[in-house]
Amino acid sequence: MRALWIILILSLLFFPSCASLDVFEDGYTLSEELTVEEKLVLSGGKEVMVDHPECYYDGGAFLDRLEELVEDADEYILISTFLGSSSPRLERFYSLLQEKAESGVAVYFMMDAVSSYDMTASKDYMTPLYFLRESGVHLHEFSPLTSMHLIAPQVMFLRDHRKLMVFDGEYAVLGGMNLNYISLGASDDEVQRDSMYVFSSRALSSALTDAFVSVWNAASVDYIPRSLFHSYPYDYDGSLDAYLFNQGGDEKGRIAGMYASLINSAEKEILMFPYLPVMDKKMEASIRRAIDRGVKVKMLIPLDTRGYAKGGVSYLIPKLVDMGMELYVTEVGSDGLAMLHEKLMVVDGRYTVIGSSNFNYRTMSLAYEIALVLDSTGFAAESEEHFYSRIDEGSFYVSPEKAEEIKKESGSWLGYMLIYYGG
Amino acid sequence: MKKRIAVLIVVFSLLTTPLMAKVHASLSLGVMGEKALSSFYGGGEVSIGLQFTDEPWFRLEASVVLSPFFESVTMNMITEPFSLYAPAFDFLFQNPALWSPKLLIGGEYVYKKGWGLRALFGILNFRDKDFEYTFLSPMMTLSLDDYSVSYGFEVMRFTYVF
Repeated sequence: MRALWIILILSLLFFPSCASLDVFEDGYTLSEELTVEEKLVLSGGKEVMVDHPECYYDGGAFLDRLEELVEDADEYILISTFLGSSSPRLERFYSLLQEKAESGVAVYFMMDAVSSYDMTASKDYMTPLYFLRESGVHLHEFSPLTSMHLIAPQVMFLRDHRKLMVFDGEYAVLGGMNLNYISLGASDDEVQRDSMYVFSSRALSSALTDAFVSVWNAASVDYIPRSLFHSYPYDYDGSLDAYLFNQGGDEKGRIAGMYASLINSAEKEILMFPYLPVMDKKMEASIRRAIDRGVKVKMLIPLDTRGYAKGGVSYLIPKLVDMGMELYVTEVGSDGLAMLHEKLMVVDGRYTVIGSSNFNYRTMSLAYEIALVLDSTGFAAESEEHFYSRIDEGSFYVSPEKAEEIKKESGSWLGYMLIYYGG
Repeated sequence: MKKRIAVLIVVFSLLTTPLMAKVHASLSLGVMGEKALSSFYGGGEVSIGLQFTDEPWFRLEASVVLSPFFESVTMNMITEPFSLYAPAFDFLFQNPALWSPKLLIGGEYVYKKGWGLRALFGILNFRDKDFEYTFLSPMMTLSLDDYSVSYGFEVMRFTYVF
């Protein structure tokens, strides 16, 4: 009887997420009749034209650019981040935001409420961002974790993991970096290895504004009229085809559909930084099918700095190797390297996925995410080069014997379960 | 009288049903206490309800009070006629919330005491997109057996609307 109750409660908690991963085995993503582009659109991707972005693979360099973008903003700034907090190196950035708000620029800032429970090294340096409100910044914490919300604990599993920004409807920014110490403000040997992309694009700015406003209005009573911000057609400018996936609120973009469309259509090679590659059986089957039809799958994964996550990833490694992929692991501290937090996928030298989404169960089912698929051989070639440069930075190839060794040394089933649902 | 109340609730529900833009369900947990002329009862309150509009203009709700076993059951009609952003209360919440006073009327059955009519004024009622937070709501109950009046407070109540 007790077991029945446990199953019932777990089912209720995770019921909304169970169906979404069927897409890895669903007809349209496996179809040979449909093109990849058609599959992406069927998965809720919005077609948008973009130009080649500025690529930032260093937190400090991106922070400098971010400060410039804030300084240059005249009308509005929209920011959504998963983890937001201040620290000594970030003080100037947040002061600039305050100055802009005080001078009449509309500043809307959304962060996930787990920002206050940041478990990275940021926890030793961080200052909460409530002070922004004093300057007129519209600040919203997504899904607060308070005792008053225990009445609906399942709501607290759903987190807003997106990282996106829009400046005056001219510049659109997305990627994997948070706005906290460990992503932007730490010393060179500690700041996470990650990526952010700055697009000078009215079309993408418009699409990201739609993504921001829809989730903001679904979450906050501080209503934003969409007419407050510039709106351009999604093909207004740019020369590269791209597909934007905004998974959150009432938006139709489905990250699972995006990954399933690309992996199930891959013909030659998949390169991936998945961050925490904790897959359910359908995701695993999709990767195995790709490998079985001759697609080379290469992944570079980090051993996380958080103990439970390191244990969970170590526990998982033999399974990844057994799937037949070429697996590389990068460990924090080796050669002075910081943790690899980056998310990237390149398929067949043509499609590149950038944004906030990891390749794991939580991303597909329990998180709001933003991701952009660029259809460009040029950008894919650059991303491939970047992929291999990360491998050359200090990773090692994982043989089946090495995989078992890592699992035996630091693997943890409990850690695996925690990252499966918790990330 | 009891039948009349039940009929009124059903008729009102049926009249408002065609106006539904979207039906939402609600789940509430709270703590209440009530002092009658000759007795006291109170305890934890669990409520489930249906809201027939996106805005909380009308909600039907069934509540059970437990302490730890069954104490009372009520069928309530709740309205929140207006909502205002009241920055003075921002210190209570992590995000801006709306001040949304609520009025509740309902029929109540108290174990071993009988039937009554309840009215509650939730003056400290706040809400955001998914949750409502209610503090220190005064209420009155009119006994239909001896027409005595009792009073009490709903100390606090948290509601999830989905």
